[in-house]
Amino acid sequence: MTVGEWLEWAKGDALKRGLPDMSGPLDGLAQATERLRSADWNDDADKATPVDAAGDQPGVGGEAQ
Amino acid sequence: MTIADVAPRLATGEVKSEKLTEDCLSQIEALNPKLNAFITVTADAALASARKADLEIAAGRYRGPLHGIPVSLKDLVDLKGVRTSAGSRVRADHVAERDAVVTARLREAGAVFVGKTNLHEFAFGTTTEDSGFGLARNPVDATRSPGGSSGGSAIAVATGMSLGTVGTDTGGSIRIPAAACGIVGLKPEWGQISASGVVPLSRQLDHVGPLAACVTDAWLQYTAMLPPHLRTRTVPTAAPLKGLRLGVPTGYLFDRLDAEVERVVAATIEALRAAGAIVSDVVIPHANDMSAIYLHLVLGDAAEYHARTLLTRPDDYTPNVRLRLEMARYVLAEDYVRALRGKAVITDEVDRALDGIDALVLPALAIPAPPIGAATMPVKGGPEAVRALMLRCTQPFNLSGHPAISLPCGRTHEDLPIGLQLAGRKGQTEELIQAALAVEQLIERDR
Repeated sequence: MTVGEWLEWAKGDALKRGLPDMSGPLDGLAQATERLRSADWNDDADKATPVDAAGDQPGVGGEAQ
Repeated sequence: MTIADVAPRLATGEVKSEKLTEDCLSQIEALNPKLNAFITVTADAALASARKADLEIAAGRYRGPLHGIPVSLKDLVDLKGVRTSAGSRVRADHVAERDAVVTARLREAGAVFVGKTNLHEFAFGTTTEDSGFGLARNPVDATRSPGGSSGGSAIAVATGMSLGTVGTDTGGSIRIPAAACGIVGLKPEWGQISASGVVPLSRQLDHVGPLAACVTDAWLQYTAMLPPHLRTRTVPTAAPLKGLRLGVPTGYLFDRLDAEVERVVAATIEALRAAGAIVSDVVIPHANDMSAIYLHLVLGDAAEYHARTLLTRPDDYTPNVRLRLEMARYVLAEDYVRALRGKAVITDEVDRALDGIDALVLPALAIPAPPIGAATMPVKGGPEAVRALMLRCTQPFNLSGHPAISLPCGRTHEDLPIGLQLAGRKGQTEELIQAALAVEQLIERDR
């Protein structure tokens, strides 16, 4: 779902639920979501295999201890 | 009056807790009708505790610097037998069955609880305007917000309604009101002080900590809130300013400041440099993304906690908080996960910024206390939303979990307080306090 599609759906749903004042806040949330989705830490399934900053440290992305 | 000043006099019996408590209750009686700092006042229980403290001290059973000290609790923190409203009619009938962990620790230290302070409903806001128990007002200028969400706590300490107080900080809710009201606020390192028995906003971002009249008072409360094995009776001394390594995180955290905040903070940093501190610029490369990361995390977490009551009693929320909580339910899982990854990126970048640095130095609050009802404030580059401005300088350290403290560093031409923020390395809160004591001494010397 693109941010535009999500925003259209969310505004429509808010209207149905009797929350017309939600439109402006949802526009703000959509801007923040666009920013998150364009961040350079995101991975894509058809791009390079993720390399975790944790490297060989224990924990997520690292080796189990 | 500070805890540091009065505690030795309590210990010797020169000052009585009962008298101190009566004085605080008198301040509450005189000022609360105007400022609305307290939701619940526990006068009878407080006086009984104070008399008990006086008897214990007289019998030689002095517990330490909080013994007999009147303290307030943000009404998000459980106090056995007393309502925890969270500033909301949703919890108007809730009575705590037991003390929160932090309350129990302060009780053990001998603190006297005078009441529960007002807050932005469910801690979900920065102004303390949206409270189910009425808005709170800044004691410096009652037409302005005291900041939030721990607004009532900041008012209480700034006006002597209590000598110490417990707040919570999810995006800046201890440091923002401390800066707006001209007092000290310490957000400890994440996870250091238990949030058990505290109504959550976002468990991964919530911090419990003290607001206080001075840095030493913040330390005295902070150590009492720690688990027993981490406590120390030693009060830190100021670090030498000569050679203190301070990092200035330029860019995003400095580019939307009120002109007077910018001038006063720059002058303070220059004074620190002149006193021998080694000041250098540092970079948090993804600082521009912090607001988006924070928003998705806090909304997602709040949506989970409020899901049922939004359905069953929506009209018991204040309109603005309800709207934001309803919006929270539209955050998609994939975007929440992106925000989680962003949080890890910011944590790593704050760690790197502190490499070879004793503390980061920056404003605590980008603007002075805003007028009540203001949606935007003018800053360099044009008007900006008040909420975004108020969170801008504090939320990095909620995402990263590093300890951070706000202390007053000057006033605007309208006499509104301006706060300076120091952020330190994890595991080194005592070193952060030492740096803050040094900065506090310099500011008081130059005042």
